[in-house]
Amino acid sequence: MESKLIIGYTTGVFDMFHIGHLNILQRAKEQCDYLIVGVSTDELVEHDKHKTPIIPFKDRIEIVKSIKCVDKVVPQYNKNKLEAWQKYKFDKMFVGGDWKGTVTWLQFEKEFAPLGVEIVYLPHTDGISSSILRDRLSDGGGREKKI
Amino acid sequence: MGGGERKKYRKIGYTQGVFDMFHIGHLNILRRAKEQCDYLIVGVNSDKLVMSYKNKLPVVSEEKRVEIIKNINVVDNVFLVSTLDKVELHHIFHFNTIFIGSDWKNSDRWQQTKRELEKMSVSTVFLPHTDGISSTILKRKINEKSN
Repeated sequence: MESKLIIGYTTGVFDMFHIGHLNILQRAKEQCDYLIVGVSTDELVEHDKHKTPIIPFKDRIEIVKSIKCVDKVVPQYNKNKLEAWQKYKFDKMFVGGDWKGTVTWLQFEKEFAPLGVEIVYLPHTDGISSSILRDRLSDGGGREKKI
Repeated sequence: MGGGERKKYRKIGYTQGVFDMFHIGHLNILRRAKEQCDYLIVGVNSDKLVMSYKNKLPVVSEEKRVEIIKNINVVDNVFLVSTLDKVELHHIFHFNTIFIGSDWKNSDRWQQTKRELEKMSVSTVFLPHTDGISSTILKRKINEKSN
């Protein structure tokens, strides 16, 4: 039986890198042999979400590059996933489970099926996100002291 | 680590920190340390240890802080540590090079520890911190954004 290298692709902002980001990358790597990660540029985030990441792109990409399970890191300049596929020819595209059933991703499923690309929805880690970290800090700085 | 492995790795490096809210400054220290040794061991300060000298808990729990450091490509081994005593740590980890933030270089306490370590053939290397980033600066930036 022919054994083919499965190329995986996932993207993100990876602002204030935390355990949730790490878990997504590890879960993605479990389902492929070679993991390519696209890191959104500051311009893309500003255009798409109308806010600037706290951590500049050059630092965000360095951190993702340093993660053991990541094989290749590329900038994500736009949301054109087909364009990304032309470049990287991935077999699986990983995305957070909250996107499942959305118009955008149903469309991607349609576009990628004839290309033989599988869209894989990954569960998020409960209780952690950049927003939650931000809220925790605004509340005064730390976790509750254990009694 | 057994004797056979020790021969393989000539320079066993050690560095220690809280690594709260992992950022590019942390990554730079780890990379700079690894440039100067063959095998890098990282000690992550336990929640209890941090509480004992800062009187508050880090924002991120010890398990998550360890997990992130474990997954940084330049790190060979990670341990949760509950002491700041470098001599004691040497007895446990048998490093021959220790990496310390250069802000400690001129402290009398450090010069004393450096001498003690030299007696055990441990060399001390001071590494510069990255300007413009720290957990404190990050927290401030986040608070500014939410106001």
